[in-house]
Amino acid sequence: MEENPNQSLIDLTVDYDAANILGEIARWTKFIAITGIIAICCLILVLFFGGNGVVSRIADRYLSGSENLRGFILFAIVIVVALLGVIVFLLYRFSALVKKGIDIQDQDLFNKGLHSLKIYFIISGTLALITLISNVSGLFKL
Amino acid sequence: MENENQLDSFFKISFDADAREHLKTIVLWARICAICAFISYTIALIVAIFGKTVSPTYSEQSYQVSSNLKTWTIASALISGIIGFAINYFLYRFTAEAKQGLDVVDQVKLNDGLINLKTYFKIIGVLFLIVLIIVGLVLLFVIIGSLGRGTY
Repeated sequence: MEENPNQSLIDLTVDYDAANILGEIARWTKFIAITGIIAICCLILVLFFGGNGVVSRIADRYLSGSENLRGFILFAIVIVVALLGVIVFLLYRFSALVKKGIDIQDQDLFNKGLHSLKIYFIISGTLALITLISNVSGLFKL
Repeated sequence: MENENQLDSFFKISFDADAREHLKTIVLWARICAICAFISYTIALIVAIFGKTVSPTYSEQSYQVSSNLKTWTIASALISGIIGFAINYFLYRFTAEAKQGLDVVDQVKLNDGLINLKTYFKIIGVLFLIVLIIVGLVLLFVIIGSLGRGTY
């Protein structure tokens, strides 16, 4: 069985340009992820020290001060913070794995990095859809 | 010769079947993100322009406050819309060019798509940096203000 000599020409490769571009993407995503981690830590600190005040304000403003829904609000805040944490972690994982994959020429690491970016965009897309639905509902309230 | 080896070593990694599958899903969801963002920003602007500003009383003062509030709402929706459109334009271009690159196995198109993804993350990074600087300055002023009050 003779190997096709043109196979490498047909395949999409991580050539010099692509490696440079992916390296820059990795650098910016790492910056965004680190900034995001700092922001989430600040948010957790604020919630830890002033969580009761935040929950009370939200309950007073949107739920007419309903006491029963305080637990639900706290749960929703924790979920949002956790989701933000997952998004930031995925972005950091993508940047680290893709950079390392290109540096040491490891296809497996490179693919794992792309897998992280894939999950990042799936979560972002789902959140974008939820935002769109909430905006459409706002349109009907006009 | 050394440069040639360096260039050659990059070709050890490729967009194999696994990577292509990931990239196709990334392109699909990134397109959903971009289109949802375009529609959301448009709706937010429409709501800001045509939405009612609730005022409990009908005095002249409350009318003035509500008018100012509406102007601010429209201005903020417009600014966030312009920034959001600019960011998501690059995301959309990434999806269009990367999809084309993957479909017709065109390395140049795929690289062009990746350049757009780089610009997308670059703009977000710069915006993060600006927010970080503003937050830092606000904190600095708060600390200086509290220290100043403490001395009197």
